[in-house]
Amino acid sequence: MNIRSQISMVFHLDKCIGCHTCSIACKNVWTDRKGAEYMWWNNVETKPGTGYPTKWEDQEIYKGGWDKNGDTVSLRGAGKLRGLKNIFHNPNMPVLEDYYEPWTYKYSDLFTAPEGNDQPTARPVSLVTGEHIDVKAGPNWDDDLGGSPDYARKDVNFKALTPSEQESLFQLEQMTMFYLPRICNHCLNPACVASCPSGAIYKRGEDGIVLINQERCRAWRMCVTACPYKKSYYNWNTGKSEKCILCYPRLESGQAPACMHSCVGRIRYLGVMLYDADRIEQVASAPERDLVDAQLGIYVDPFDENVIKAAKANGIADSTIRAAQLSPVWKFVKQWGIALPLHPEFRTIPNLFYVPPMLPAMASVDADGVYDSHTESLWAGIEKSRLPMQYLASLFTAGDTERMKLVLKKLLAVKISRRNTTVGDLSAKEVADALEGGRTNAKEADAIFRLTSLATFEERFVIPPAHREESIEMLEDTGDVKGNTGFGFKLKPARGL
Amino acid sequence: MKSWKMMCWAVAAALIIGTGVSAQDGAEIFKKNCTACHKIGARLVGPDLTGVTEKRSDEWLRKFIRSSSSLIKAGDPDAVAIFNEFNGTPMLEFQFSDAELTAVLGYLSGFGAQAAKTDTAAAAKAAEPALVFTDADVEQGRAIFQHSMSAGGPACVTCHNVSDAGLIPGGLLAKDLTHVAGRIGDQGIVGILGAPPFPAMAAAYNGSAALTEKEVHAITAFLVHADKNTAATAEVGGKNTMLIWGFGGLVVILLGVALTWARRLKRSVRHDIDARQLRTI
Repeated sequence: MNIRSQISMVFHLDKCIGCHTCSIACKNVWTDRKGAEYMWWNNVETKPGTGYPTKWEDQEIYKGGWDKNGDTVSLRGAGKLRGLKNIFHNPNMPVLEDYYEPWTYKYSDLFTAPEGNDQPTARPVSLVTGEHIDVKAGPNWDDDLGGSPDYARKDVNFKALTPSEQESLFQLEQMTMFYLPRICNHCLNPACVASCPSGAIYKRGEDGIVLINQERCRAWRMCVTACPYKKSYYNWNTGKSEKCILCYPRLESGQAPACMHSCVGRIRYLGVMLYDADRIEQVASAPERDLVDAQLGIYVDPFDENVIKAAKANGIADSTIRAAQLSPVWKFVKQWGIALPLHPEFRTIPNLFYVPPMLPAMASVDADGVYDSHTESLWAGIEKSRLPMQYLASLFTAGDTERMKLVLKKLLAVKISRRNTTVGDLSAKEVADALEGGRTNAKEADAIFRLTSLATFEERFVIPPAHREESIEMLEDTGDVKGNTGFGFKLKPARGL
Repeated sequence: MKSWKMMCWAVAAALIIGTGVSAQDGAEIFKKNCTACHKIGARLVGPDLTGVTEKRSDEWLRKFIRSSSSLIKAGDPDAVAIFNEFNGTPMLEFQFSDAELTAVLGYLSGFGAQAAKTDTAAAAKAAEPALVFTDADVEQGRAIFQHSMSAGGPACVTCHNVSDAGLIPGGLLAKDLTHVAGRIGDQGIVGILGAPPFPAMAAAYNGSAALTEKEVHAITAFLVHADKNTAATAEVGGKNTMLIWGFGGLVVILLGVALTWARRLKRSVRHDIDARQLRTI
């Protein structure tokens, strides 16, 4: 057993209102720079939709992630020979148009325009070239199903659906959507790290955050294509690639990442997960139908004596183990099993989990043309969900609809149990059936409700102390400078220390 | 002020040096610059210069020496005739000063038609006997051609190519020498090797790096041999082959690139979306 700690996250999609506050917080803190204007380390997509960059999920186009190769995995678009072949010309690279050309408006024209018959307008100006542009797309151009013939209908996850099923989805009374906020998954088996020819990308030992060393990056951009989530971006100004750093300077000082801190719907949870690093290869190369179970199996119980012993042997601090025991991610993912990884079939073992959305139940239009959304009970059952189960399964369980149903049934049980508590208009049998269908009980349902709806800041973000005082000891002997100066000097003063 | 003064000094110095050139120096200049190709009383790479000052005007000679090619280009009948007579090999261009030209022409005028007549018999006698080349000379010459000289000069093959079975392909910096013997004759080769008139060769084989007589003989033997034993088309064909192979190679490489990356992303993934939206506007 090789126990390591990993900062993991849960996004509760039922709570996401699609306000993009997270994206703006991230942009203002990190990517409001020349060359980074087009990057959205955090973005919110509308599903169904093609996302950002366009069709990022279609690995037939971008060749990201891993392929199962016997008992192991190999990179789909890079690797030793293929990487060498493509090192000067990466054939699967997204271009700026696939993201969007960032722009601003020439607001000064509003003030300097000469007097005339028409109101002056502020024309859009490209932030890359400075020229006037005709805006073709933005990072969330298909927000709320905007332009759905071009975007929603081309969602890659519809592949499992028959054309008639797809058609019925887009009927006026049956259309539905939900939001999918995305950041870097800080994967356990990151394809970006594996693909980097310069060895510039690394996974931090203490918390598993994946970072790009800006000094070693040589702009090969293999990570841009290798990351199946397209969360590594090339900065055309600095000539280096960049990605979400999970606000590690904030984490190290005990603050939640900017996107999570600012989240209006409070959908985001962050905590430590302990995992067994020896099993990464085995999990990544599991058969597709076992992928989710295999991944959930890699996270080990932080209350287990053996795990704690192995963790301590690996130098994991007591405070980190304590944080793992309190982790909301542990509860959502392992204890309750209602949070699932996004696209586990990419085989990168992502550490961002999603509680899937309970979509509105199906309505129908009867023979007289009357719109009827009335169902026998309040919650008609997840089988009548507007979005086909295959679609959600394609997103979160690598196509396993049974597993998807189970998770949704549990979420439904929580709602029914809660209604029973607050309104009390349901029969005991109805409640018991729902709980049984969701393989849960009233106590657990209540715990899920509390962490979902009433959680405090400290419960949502259990950030372990970073122990920077210990990590500095790896770099220098603190005894040498003990008692010398209060703060230390970058440059020694002329008069000496 | 200072530059004005300096210029005065420079003009004065030039005048002193310029007027200092005499007929004696003419002989020196001729030996240094002209003997590689010209001889008095015999035809070498270039024509016999006996009585040349009587045959041509002084002005014409000065123009020809400074730039024969511009005369040819201008269509001067005499210049064109000479150019054609000597296998289309233009004379090198010499940037002599007026004084130097006067000296050389003065020196040449000493070998008038009269002198030529009286000296004809002597010249015929004095004409060097035809060179004799043995197989050993050829072998030695081939070896010298691709190795550096005894005095340290660079190997011929560095800049020159000769199409010969026993020789590696040579450089393309200077002329192909496969048929040089046919163009300028063995005496011409000896002359050029003895006192190279070409700036690059003169610099490479000057002073202490000069070729020995034996080396000159061997190299000449090899070049005569190469001229006789290589098909006349080899040289010309070689150039075309280069072009054909180069172009063919480019096509093969481009095809390879096109096939290897046949499935690359050829345009933006959004292309279809943008195209459809533009159509509907």
